[in-house]
Amino acid sequence: MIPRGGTTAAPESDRELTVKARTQRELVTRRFLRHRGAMVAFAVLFGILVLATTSIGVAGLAGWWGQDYRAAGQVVDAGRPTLDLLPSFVDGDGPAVGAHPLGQDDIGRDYFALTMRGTQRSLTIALLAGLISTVVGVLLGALSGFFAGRTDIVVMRFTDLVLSLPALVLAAVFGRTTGGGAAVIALMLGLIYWTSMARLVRGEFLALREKEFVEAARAMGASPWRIIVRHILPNTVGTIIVNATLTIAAAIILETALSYVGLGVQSPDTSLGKLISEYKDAFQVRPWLFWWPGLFIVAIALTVNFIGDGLRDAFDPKQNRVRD
Amino acid sequence: MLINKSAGSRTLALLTGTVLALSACATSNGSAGGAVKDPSARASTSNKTITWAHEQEFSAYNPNTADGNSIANTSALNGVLSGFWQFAPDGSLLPNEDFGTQKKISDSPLTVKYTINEKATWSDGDPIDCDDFLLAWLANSGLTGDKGFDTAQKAGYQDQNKPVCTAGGREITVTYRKPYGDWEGLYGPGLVMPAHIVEKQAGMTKTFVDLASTPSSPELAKAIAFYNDGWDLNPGQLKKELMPSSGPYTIEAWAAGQSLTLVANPRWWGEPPLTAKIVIRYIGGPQQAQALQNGEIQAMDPQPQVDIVKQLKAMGNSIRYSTHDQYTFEHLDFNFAGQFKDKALREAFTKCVPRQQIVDNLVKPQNPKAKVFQSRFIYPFQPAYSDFENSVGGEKYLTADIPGAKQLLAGRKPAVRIGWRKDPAQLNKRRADTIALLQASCGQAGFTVLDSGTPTFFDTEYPSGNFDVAMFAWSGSPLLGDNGDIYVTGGGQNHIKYSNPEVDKLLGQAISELDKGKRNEVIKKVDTILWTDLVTIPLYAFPALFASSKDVSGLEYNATQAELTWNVARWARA
Amino acid sequence: MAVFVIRRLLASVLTLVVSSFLVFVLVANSGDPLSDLRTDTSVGREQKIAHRIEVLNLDQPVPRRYLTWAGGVTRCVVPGQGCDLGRNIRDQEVSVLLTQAAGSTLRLVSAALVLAVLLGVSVGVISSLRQYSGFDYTITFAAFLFFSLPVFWVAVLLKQYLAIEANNWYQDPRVGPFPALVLAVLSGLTWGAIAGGTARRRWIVRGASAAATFGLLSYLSAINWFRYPALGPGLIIVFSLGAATGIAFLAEGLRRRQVLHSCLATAAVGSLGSFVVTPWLLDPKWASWTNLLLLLVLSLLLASGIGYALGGVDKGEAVRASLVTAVVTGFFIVLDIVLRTLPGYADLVGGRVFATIGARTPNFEGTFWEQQLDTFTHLLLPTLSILLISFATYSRYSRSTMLEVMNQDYIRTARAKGLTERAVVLRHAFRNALIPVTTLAALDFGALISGAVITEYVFGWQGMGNLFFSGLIQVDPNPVMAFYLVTALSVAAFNLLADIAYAYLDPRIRLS
Repeated sequence: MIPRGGTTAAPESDRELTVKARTQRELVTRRFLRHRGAMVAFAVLFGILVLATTSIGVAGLAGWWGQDYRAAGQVVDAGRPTLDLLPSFVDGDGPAVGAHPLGQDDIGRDYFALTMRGTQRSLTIALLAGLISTVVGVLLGALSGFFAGRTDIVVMRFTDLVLSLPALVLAAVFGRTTGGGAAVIALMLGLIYWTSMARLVRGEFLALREKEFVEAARAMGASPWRIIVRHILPNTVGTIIVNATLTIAAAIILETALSYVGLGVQSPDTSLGKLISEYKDAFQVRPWLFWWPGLFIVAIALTVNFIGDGLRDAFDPKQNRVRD
Repeated sequence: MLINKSAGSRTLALLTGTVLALSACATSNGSAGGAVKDPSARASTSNKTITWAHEQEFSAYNPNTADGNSIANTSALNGVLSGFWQFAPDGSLLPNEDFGTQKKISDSPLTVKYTINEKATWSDGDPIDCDDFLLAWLANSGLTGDKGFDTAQKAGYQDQNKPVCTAGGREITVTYRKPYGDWEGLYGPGLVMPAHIVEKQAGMTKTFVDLASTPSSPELAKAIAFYNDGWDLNPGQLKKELMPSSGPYTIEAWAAGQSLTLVANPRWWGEPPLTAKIVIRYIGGPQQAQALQNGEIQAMDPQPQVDIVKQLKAMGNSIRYSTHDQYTFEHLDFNFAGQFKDKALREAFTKCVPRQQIVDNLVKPQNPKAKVFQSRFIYPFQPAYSDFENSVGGEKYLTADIPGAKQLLAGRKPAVRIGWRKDPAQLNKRRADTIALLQASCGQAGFTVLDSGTPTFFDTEYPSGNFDVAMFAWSGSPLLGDNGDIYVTGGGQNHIKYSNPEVDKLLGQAISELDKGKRNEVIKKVDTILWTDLVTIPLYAFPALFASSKDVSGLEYNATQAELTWNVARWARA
Repeated sequence: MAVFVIRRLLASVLTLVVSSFLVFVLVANSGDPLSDLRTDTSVGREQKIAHRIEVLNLDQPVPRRYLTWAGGVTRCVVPGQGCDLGRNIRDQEVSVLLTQAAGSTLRLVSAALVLAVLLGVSVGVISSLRQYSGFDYTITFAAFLFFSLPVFWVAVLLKQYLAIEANNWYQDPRVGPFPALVLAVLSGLTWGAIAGGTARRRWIVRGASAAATFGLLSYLSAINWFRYPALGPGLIIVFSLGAATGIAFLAEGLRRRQVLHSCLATAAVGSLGSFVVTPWLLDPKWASWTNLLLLLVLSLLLASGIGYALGGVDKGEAVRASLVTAVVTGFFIVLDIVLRTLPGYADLVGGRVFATIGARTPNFEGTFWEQQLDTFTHLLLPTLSILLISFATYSRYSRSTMLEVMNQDYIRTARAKGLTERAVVLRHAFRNALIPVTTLAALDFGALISGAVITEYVFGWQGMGNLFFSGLIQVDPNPVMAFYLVTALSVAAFNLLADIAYAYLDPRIRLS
């Protein structure tokens, strides 16, 4: 990445006399690692992931935080948080974590444990949904755009069909009949979101298949599969990555909306969306119940977006600094 | 939409005065629409507007039909259609002498004389008389059969002979074929509809005075069609000429999805309403507090949630609010057809239910006055409750007694399926939290408490007995109505398969008992037996809430289905 | 072309039939439509249940109920038959409900969509041209942040700060020195970032815009402008001429004198015309939509006349730019009138101008302009909350596609040819960058209607969202189907339009 400030001086390492040959993958990795925003985001997201998985444990393994997110108990001090970062000489109790750092909910469950469980759930849902929608969307979009003609018609009509099914209808049916497990919700979100990916990829393919390099590859006898994967797809990576990250972030938010109408993850399980929609009216009077899960949602969505941004820059260096 | 409408909460226990009559409180005197305590309040109508927020939109002018019988309509029509009485805040009956009087003149056969106020007219000028009364009777009597008048209530009316009165007369005599304890609770608000409108719209050549004795007359078919559907309205499309008022207000305007406007009825003959214009604005519950704060509404009574109450508190003295008990109570019912036919097991479970903790954590934040509910028939706001609270048996099971429960279980580890209506789209958070508290407390005693909630609970699992403990709420008290056979052996709603001949006998006695004091004694016996047998565990009365801006006075909470607007004519704005 | 459209239409109809059947079956099977009556303890329970079974035909199998519904819908296509969309659970006609709901939702969604596209695309393009500048980072961060906020939560915040607090402020509207300073710094940072160029140039822009902001706010507070706001003829003239210059620059560059002159002339004529038009429009007798439309047509005619007369060799371009100038000038004139109406409107609503709930003040009676203001103050918050989120999407997409396009060979060629940066960006890059944005906008329209479900609820708009959601919750298919019909039809229509727009914007794509 070229440093800010307007000069185009090459980084020190590149001023060697011999130019080292690098593969595409190395280039991408290098560029990604140098993307400051993405690296900070990556660190934060990784931190959140570690915190959420080790604290209350995952997949049956116990975590270091002793309290279960399902355990109801006595509500202490109206459920106020015991976390106090300010030392005693500023406002009182000194830096302390306490028994319930993020407070307690209505029936005395530890809110830190709940938030961590919610983070696990939201992350799982968002990543799974992003993965499913990307795979399905890219595959169908590529086929449709590359082969055009009859394939295109069939795929696009199918896309229209899925697109015309209201997400909330699916959510209501699945939510009411399956009991709202995280995997079901992720699958549903993925199956809702792939359509926009498919249309975008198709649009790109329609434009790119007319390009000279595709003509050239065809003339050289490359198979359609090879042309799609090796020649056209790399040129659409920018669009795919941007859309995939937006989808992951959007999936977190849609999960929140589903929770708002009660169709998200079901109790006793929880998600960040469920927590903030349960306590949305608390923001004036018990702000901690709203802010903590909200903070985690925003942090996850933000970091995912920044990582996507960094990936795009890394894959597509042409986009950096087009003029000065 | 999105109203967290728990099963049974606010369902429309329509005007079955039954339970209300149980109240030890004798009906008080004075006219209801204008129960004037302060003579200086006899001021004329002020030129102000009060806006009240409500969640559900108005849809019909006739609150008697299956379509029209909803809170949305009755709450709007409280000031528009009067009757011989209305519900007082404690559930007792308040005579409305502006409309007319009712008086029992004989016990055997039961005979009641109704006298309509001689000044009473519909707001289009037509007098309210015999004709209107006969329509009310005919429509509710059930005599027109399945294809006849589609009214939602028939109890009481179907025991009456054809009321006796003359065309244009205002004195009506009603005799009963068999005694009916709730005779005072008939012909209430919204029952008497304008017969002249029906006659005109149906193009009838005869009046109901002529036709009431021949319910099968073909002449009635068009009247029935109009009565059933003619007053159903599409949003925003008022048919004002078909909707005259018999109360202090008339319906003036309707902006679909937004608001309904009532204005003072210029022809109203009684105490004039204090405020010229009442606007009912349709706003979702959670949005109401900020609208109140921003001065867009002056009064509201949403379903209470912890944080709404706190939010109101934080608004300081620019508003007033108060919290109450609703006419709905939550309870746990044992299934006698399953493992809980064993009384020791029932007792062990009852002992581990942390009733006080449930109330403290889940109800008190919304209604600080809330207490653990002990009766199945009398509510805390009814004067007779003090007689029940500490003597029917529930007082022994206030807080969880884990050692006691463990001892009764004697090492057994039963799994208990709690059945309830758990619809994700309308999740009752309080119930979900109750389950968590039960799991924590009864888990210590040795029970494994399973959350077996389903969206179809009342449709399938409950009637088929596929549960160990059912958790839901009864609205009003279903003791004596047509469907109130919950505790009677083989009763239609007795899905818990409870049977006790003593209870059957006592309940039969209560229905035909005309003396309220005696009736309460019988009820108390039933309540005590139900505690001894540990049939159901009452938990709490639902909390309720209303708030208004500081400059509004006259609002008074009413626990019945009458809703906040029951005394709308007494609302005033400074 | 015609063949393409007809074929697409046929395919759309087929899709609609299949998916409407799916939706109907799903909704009808999603729960128990009688659940609220089952726990009803009133004596009329059996009658109510029987009645509902009759209204919703619950005694018939679902496919047959679908056919009944579909039969009613096909009558919409046959002229003179009148639509029959069935009845809802409360026995009301769904077609009537839909007409009302659609009106209120379309108002909400279209305003938000147009603003989101305009703002999102322009901000996205600017931040792509200033890649990795402070402005770019800020916009990126803001876009991601907006994108990460749940709408119901944004709504609560907007109500608190843009309605309740703003109304409190409006009781005595002044900007104190400290808030003014903060706003000045913010404004300086924004303009400095947009300006770009050398560090020195950016510092000058920052300083100047901060000082101007601070001065303006203090001055406006001093003369109590916020209580009695207006632009006045002076500002109308200044703003219109400024806008004219900007439009001319964006259209053809300032070197094309004829274009610049006709824009300036149009702005001058328009703003001078405000002396005649403003009093006329403020007169309750004259103010109406018809007259406003008439004025618009008149000013457009005038503008094209001016453009034609002064355009010289660039007649076409001059006319186009003049038309845009005329619209913008008209906007300033109307803005002036609306601002003048504000104090009177405030008195009518008890000084609390910004609404938190509903589509209008109940029983509001006022002049034409006060009515419009009432609609506007009620639209403001819900539109903003939809806008924030859509804006994020558009700015990200347009930034990314713009960056991609700017690296294409033909852009390099255009530059090599010696075209000005303006021409390269607007003529060559921007047009191509619009392609993915078109797709997005087309898809977004249907999504926005669905997405407005929660916004509508939170802001008390009884629109399509309400129709849809209450139907879904009550297991009442007819209102859900009405909602579905509108969204599915609009998605199909907009997809078709997007395909046509594709072909128009990118000649390499042929419709066949």
